[in-house]
Amino acid sequence: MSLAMTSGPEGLDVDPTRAGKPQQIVTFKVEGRTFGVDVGAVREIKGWQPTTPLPNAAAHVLGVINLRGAIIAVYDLRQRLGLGPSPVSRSSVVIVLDLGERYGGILVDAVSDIVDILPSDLRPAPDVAGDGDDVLTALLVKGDDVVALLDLAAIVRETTHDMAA
Amino acid sequence: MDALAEIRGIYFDECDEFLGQLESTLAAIADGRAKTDDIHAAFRAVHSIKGGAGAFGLSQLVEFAHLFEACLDALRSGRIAVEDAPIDILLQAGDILSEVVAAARDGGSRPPPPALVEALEAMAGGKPQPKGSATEIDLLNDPVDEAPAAEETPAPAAPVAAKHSVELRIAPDRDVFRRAFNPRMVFDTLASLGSIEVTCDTSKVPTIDTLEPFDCCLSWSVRLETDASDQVLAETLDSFLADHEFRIVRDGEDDVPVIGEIEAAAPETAAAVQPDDAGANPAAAAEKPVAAAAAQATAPPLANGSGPVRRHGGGTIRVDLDRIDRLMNLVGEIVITQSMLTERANVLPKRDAAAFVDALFSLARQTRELQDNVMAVRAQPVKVVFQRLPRLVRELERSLGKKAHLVLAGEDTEVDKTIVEELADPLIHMLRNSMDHGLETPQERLEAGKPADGTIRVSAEHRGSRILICVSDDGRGINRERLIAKARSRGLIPADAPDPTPEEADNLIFHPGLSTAQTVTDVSGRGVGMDVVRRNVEALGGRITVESTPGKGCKFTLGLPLTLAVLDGMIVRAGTERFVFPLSSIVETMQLDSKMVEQLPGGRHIMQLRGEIAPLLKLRDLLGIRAIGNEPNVVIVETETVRRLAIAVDEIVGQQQVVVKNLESSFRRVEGVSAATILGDGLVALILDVDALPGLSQTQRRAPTTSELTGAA
Repeated sequence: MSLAMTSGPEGLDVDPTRAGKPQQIVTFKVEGRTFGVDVGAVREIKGWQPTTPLPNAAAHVLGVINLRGAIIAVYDLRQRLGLGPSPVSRSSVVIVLDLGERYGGILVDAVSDIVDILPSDLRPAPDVAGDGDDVLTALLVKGDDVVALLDLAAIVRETTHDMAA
Repeated sequence: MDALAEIRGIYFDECDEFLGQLESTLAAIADGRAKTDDIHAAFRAVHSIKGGAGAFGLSQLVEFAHLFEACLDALRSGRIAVEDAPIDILLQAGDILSEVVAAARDGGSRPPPPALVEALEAMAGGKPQPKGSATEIDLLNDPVDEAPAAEETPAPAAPVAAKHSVELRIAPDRDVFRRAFNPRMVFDTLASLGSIEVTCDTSKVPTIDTLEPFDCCLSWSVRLETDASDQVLAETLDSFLADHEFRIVRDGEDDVPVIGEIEAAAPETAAAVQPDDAGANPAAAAEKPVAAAAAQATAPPLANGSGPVRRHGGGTIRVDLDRIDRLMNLVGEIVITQSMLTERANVLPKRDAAAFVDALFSLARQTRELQDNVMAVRAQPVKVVFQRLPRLVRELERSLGKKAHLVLAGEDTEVDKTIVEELADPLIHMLRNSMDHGLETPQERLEAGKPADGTIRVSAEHRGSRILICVSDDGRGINRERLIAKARSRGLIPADAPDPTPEEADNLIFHPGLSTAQTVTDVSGRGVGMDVVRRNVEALGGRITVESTPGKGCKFTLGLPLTLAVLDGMIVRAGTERFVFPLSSIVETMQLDSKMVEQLPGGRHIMQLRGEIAPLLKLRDLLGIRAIGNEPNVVIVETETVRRLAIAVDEIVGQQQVVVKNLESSFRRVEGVSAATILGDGLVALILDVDALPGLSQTQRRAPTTSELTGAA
């Protein structure tokens, strides 16, 4: 594995020299692919509820919902990854994440699991430019599956590129 | 934050209050409408500031406050008649005091001007000595010298009685220092009634390792040779201590100890003990209730009528703002839940519904009441802002060389805290404007046949669900010719356009980049002022208007909602989405008649409105919403830039009070949207920023996202 990699995304320690400290990630599916976020960032997981769209927001901003009196924005991860808008089904869920200053939700197809990982299991995300690649921070090989770990700040970011879509 | 820093913070918060009190009482003295109470209040305010400053070792503040206090004492005691008081000096001292406080807060230093100090010293009658001839008390530098208590000077001994000896037992509650009790002040005051001998009982002070410095474990016994009656003594002590904490024992009377073992403990040396050395003693605390009851029973009857001001009066508490905000949020939730229930009730079978609806009506009334009450908790009188104004006027008088008489009215008008906070800046700006541009110099005023001193009137009143603040002056009024000329020279009015009407000309004062002052002063005149005021006021959902009469004066009227937390809204539907228009910006709503609409070359639509032309915009186009209906209704709104703007919507759902939820903190600022709210069905609706809508139509940024998304959802 690459020893040149010394720093990881926030909340995820990718430093291989500190491989001993296990972490937990929540994994979920979007378009058949598996993604993960650090369990510490997950506030709650809730079913889909209609969003109120926001005018002139980026394509992956679904709108805002009422989370027990608080207003939070919900983002479409599929759209953000450049895979088109998500169809909403019964199993669609919104993962409410702590984004630091505020909460935000991401719409995913289904939540899969909570897995224990060792930072030494992580591989750097391939540095290939592509739609949605900027939201990945690291990859995790778990059996046959590849789990892509997400950069939360990048998911919610609205770039001019998105605005022009 | 460590405990001391926290207490320090509280102290400075209190200082602000005291300074506010001082300001208003000084103003009363200046106006000649001061009552004895006002002078006492001013004295107490300064005294309390001094006390706390002593505790925090702010020597500069202590010194100045002490001097100031001495002057006020001279007034209070009648050594100087209120009518003869050098009010300018006092006002100035008040200003300097707040500067010294501010400097102390920031850890800086602000030496008071020597000239002022001299003047104050002269007023106080020479360098004031620490008052009271503390006989045997040697309380070092009294570190806890704070007492926002009423220190009423007892009336000169009533019907002359012969000198007699009386014993006073003072056994304060353990938390007495937290009430800013300072034993020295008690003794000083008693010393002024006669000769005293103080014995301090330190037997209950624990060893240093268990010592809690803020607990009082001391009790005192004072032998007083005085000609004052018991009633006078009781009144005196009552202003410092609760009834059960002291007791007067006449010679020869039965000597019931105030605290159980006070006699058992050998009275120790004269009180050379700092309050800080006092310590906790659980045993003493346990006995207190019993002793207190006993003391209460034997306490001498209090004087009624003009008795001393009680320290515990008023019945107010300090509450953390966060708590009130949380309460407010919860009430908001209840309002939402309640409207959810109301919506559910509509689908119930008629038979079941009746009782349910009845209960809902009560619930609705109760939540409304609850909401009003929570709002009332958050309400503050505008006095909080108004009391800063006299000082501002004095500063401006000095820097502008003008004289102005400030008249305040309606200071007790209450508005929500959110508004009070936002009120200060516009108000200060308006006042500056009146002082700088409105009022003429004394010379000019005399020439114009007016009194040399100008008058500025600032008033507040409730008008419906809004608060109206008026700032009027009797100055020269707005110079319309100059405004128009300036507007023309800057190209704001096309050269060939006719002169605007007087009202329009006056309103140019709100235009960015126009100011009529001939010289740019450091007060105003840079052309940033009234336009900023207007922008800020409108951002709050308020309006500002101006009326000017040349030569007679100018009046600004500021209308603001009473709160920013709830808003009266008109709910409309456009496509699949609902939006909220602030009711305050709506002029009217009507059915759209195609005969009234015309298309301009270029595709834009206008609407004829009783002879007026209003641009017609479609809300769904503005906000990029998937179209369903043909938008048969229009809402006519008044905006900052467009006097009448017609906005076509699909449906007008109804009018409702909505709880305003910030959108910026949960997402970001959205153009055209000022905030969000939660409707009765639990879904979020956006509150429109009406002033931004014309701008949206010009950029016409098409946003495919929303339509795609609603399709997806």
